[in-house]
Amino acid sequence: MNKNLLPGVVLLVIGLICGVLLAFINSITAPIIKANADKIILDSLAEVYIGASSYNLTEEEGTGNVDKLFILSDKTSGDTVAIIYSVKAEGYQSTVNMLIAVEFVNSSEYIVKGYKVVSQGETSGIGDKIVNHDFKMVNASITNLSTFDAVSGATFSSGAVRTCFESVSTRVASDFGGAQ
Amino acid sequence: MNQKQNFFKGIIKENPLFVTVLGTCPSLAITTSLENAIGMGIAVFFVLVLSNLIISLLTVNPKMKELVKPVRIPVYIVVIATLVTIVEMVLHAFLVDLYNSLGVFIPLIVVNCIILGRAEAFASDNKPVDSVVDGMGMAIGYTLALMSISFFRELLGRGLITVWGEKSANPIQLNLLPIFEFIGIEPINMFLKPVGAFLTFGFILAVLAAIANKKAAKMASEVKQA
Repeated sequence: MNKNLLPGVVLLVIGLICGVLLAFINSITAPIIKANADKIILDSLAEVYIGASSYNLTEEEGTGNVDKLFILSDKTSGDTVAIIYSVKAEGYQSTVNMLIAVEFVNSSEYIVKGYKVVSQGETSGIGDKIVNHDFKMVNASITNLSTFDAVSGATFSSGAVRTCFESVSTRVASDFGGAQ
Repeated sequence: MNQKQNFFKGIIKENPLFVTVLGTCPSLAITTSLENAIGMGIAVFFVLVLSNLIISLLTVNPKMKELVKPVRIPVYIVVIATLVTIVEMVLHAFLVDLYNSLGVFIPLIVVNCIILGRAEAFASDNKPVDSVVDGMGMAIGYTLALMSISFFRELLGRGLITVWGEKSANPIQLNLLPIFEFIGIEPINMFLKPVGAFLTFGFILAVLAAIANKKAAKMASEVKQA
């Protein structure tokens, strides 16, 4: 072999050994890193769906106003128990981001189990009341928004929250059927 | 030089941070808490000792040394980068808080002058055992230097030092807040900022230089008298 090539071959061999070693370490640490990341997400999701951390988590990208879907499934049967939707809508002067948890009672009944405004930049003292307001949607069907109670004096901000619920309702109807 | 001298030179005589002033950038950045300093020190210990060992093993044979010589810098970087990536993955999996607080400075250990410097200046010309001892001494010297800087910065900046407060039921704690309250001042937040890092580092270097000068003057006068 050409003597000038030998140092390069040595470097190549060292690189290959290092690559194999890294692949081995990665195979050990990657599942733990993923489990840690899932736990952080599940702990934050538990704020809108109690007991979220006791289920398996799968993430799916959304479309339109729905940014992301966090699908919670039973650890033994694998059945979908609930979906937490990360959803957004335009308010009076900002984008309102929400998490809305929908539980699957049966194949035609989808109940809102919790919701939270996770970020907003609405008018202080008026629009930002949406953060702590009870919109009377817990335990209501996601396909029926008749119980929705807006914040008086904050029409646009409440409208954004309602749009969030409507977006989830539309998504549930398109994915699983059921009348809106 | 015997093994004892080889080990202790990294801690005092050739301390990488306070004497040769190497690797100052990450050192000043991460010394906002004692916990960070210990974590960074352990990471550097692992990388430095193993990189010294591997590089020494690669160059201990004269024929192999000649072969590696033209590509030695890429070889050192590949070895060091691999070790640093292992440290990063292990910290990310098992010590998430420390991983988050050290942040970008973990991958930057790859380009830390201390590690590359010891590989080129010592490990490539010495036996594996000597290289490991040198790596251990240098890493412990570096860790002690980081700890001394972070000790002053955290104590003056927060008024309180807590080590592994979230991991242990009985964390190690040193609380100076009552003294700050007694004097009637708040902890000096500036010490947690970059300017505090430079001030602390400069102050420690000045004290060490004064001690060294005093020692040199004493020795000179003893020689003169003799």
